[in-house]
Amino acid sequence: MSEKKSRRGFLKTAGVGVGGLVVGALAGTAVAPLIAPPPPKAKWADLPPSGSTIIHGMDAAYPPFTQIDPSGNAVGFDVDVVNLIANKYGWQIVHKPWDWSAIITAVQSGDLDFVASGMTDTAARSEIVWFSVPYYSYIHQLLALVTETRSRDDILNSGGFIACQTGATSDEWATKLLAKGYKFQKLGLDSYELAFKAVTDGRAVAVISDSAFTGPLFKTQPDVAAKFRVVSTIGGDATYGYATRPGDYGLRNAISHALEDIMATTDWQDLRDKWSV
Amino acid sequence: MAAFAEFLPYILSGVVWTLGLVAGGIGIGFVIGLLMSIGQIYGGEDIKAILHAYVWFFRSIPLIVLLFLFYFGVFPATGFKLDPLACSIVVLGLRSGAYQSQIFRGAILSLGDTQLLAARALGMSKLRGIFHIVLPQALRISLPGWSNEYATMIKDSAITFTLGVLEILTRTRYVAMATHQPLIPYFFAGGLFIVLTYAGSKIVNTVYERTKIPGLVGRL
Amino acid sequence: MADGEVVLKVEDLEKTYAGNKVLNGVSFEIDRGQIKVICGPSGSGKSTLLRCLNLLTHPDKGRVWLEGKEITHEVGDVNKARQKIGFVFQEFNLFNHLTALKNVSIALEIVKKMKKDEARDLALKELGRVNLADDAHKYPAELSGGQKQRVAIARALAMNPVIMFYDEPTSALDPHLIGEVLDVMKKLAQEKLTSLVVTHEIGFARSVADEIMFMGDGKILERGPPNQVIENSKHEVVQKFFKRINELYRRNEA
Repeated sequence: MSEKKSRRGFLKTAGVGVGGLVVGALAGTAVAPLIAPPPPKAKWADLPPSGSTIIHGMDAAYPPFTQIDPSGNAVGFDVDVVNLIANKYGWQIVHKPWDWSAIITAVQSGDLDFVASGMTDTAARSEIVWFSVPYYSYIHQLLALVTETRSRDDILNSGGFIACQTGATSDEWATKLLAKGYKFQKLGLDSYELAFKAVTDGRAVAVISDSAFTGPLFKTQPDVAAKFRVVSTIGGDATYGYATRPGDYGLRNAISHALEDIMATTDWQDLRDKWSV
Repeated sequence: MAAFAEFLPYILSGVVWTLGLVAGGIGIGFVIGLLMSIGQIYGGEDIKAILHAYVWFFRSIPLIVLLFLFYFGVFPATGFKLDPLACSIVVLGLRSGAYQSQIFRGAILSLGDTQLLAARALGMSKLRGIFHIVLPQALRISLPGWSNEYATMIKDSAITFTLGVLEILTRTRYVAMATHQPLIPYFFAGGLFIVLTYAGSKIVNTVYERTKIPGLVGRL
Repeated sequence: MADGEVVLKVEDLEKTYAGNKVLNGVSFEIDRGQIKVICGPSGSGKSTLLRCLNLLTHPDKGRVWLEGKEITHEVGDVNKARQKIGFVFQEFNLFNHLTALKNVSIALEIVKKMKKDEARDLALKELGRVNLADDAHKYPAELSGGQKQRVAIARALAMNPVIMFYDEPTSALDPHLIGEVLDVMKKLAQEKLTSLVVTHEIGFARSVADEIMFMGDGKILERGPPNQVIENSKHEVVQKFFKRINELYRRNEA
């Protein structure tokens, strides 16, 4: 008798578990389109006039492109460029730090007007946001400690951990490599900083990074640079762009033109030197 | 290290936000929890079932998931445009209400039904009896459990970094990146949380000692 | 408020708990100034009867009138009716978070809407009636059982009830504390405060009760003056009960 009872109890619990998951999934799929925030009517379809308040979204945890100074103000390469663009058009810029995982959604919903934060203009992202002209190109690299002498393929097939930043392009590269059949374990960290630390701590055998981050890191911290060697390049060139909502032609075109103008001046190289990018 | 020291005021100004989240969350949770506990004990079967479902919902779902559900789902759907801070306080409050209702419920139950019986025998209505006789005792008994809720809320407030609220943890992350110091800022943040938790618990304990009445313990 | 007026009238009260018919047709009346005692073995429904009379529990069948007005089935305001009935519990049930003084005065403030100092003075007076004026500031946990019960009596008295219900008021007390409570109850009885007392204290019943009602199997098996019921009962059950109690008393005194 008690055996029957415990079996019934188990089935009931399993039923609740499966039922909960199914209901949750169905609810999410069915409800999501209904309650997705409607894209705001193209706010900046025309050129934003002088005096407009434009909200610049950034991940404050991505030096040297976007970070904060001791007073909590937004600083960085992208911040400086955005300020230059704003000056050109007389815009009032608000620099808003935002969580990276939700930053594109924030642009879609209107909490932010554009993202300028070392964001790579991937094809997937291009489907939901529109990018300005590229303003910075970089490559992805596989780096390891100088004491690690194995070749690229040996490291990728070693079965050990390879570090990257979760949600960043290095993460996507790790996934692509695993799909190609390489045998390693992906170690996703919160930031490139931590990904490099994983290697120096010995928790990972190598790190996939983008030179946009590695370059400044090695220039400002030569002691760290001395520990690493570049094992190989991964993939081709990638570029950063500033992202806007589809439909905000005015804003995006204004940003693109301003970028091209600034890049044509000597100020551009000064800016890059200032931030070591 | 010198670089980090410069950022200390920035991290410390996050304390105000953290305390704001905690105060808002516990405050909303107190009102909700108290009303719910009365409903769960003195209410009809329908009310009890609804409240039971509420408690289960907020106890089962992790806070991060709740924050996203409400920020990206519930609030846009119902037309409320809440910023991350307001949304976080509401979610923390709703969730804390579920937990606090259990604290108050336990306290009221431990009193037994004789207190209310005696109040009603004197001619008090049920409501007056609950308010003047049951609640003052139940609230005092609840204080130790409440101190626990405060400590939990301090930690939960840090999770709102996922919505970008500029409390202690969010600022610590930014500083860690800006100074290329992955460890030191977190040690400091940890110390901050210890101080906040300890100070708060001390305050609750002092309140408990001051309002203690000889012999006022719940029935075992 | 003439003497001989019926304060409490009970007709055919019935109550079933979990399949047990605890009250099986109870009827009686109490006139103003009368002291009536209910005796009987445990489980005969005595406590349930009292709870039904002030409607803390609802009877399944039957009717109750207080001073001529029916109070069963929420006819009229039940809370108002309860104000007129002073209830003393077996377990005292004092409010733990209040001093003795506040215990007595709180209902005056909340229910009778008295001003704070008026209520306080009246409360002190009632505590004096039960010989506890000096302990007014103590909390229930600091009082002995006998003191607690006397505070409970004062609390009930303060509402100026037309009738007092005592539910085995001394059963939870240590033997040496019973006397002080019974003395207070005797004093009140001598002041002709209409009372209905459920108790095992035969000595008390003998000295102040106008009538004893013996309950068994949910019914009143016998009623009459104390001497008749205790010594000259015609029912075997009643005879057995009192014989046993007398034996116990004698054994204690021996």
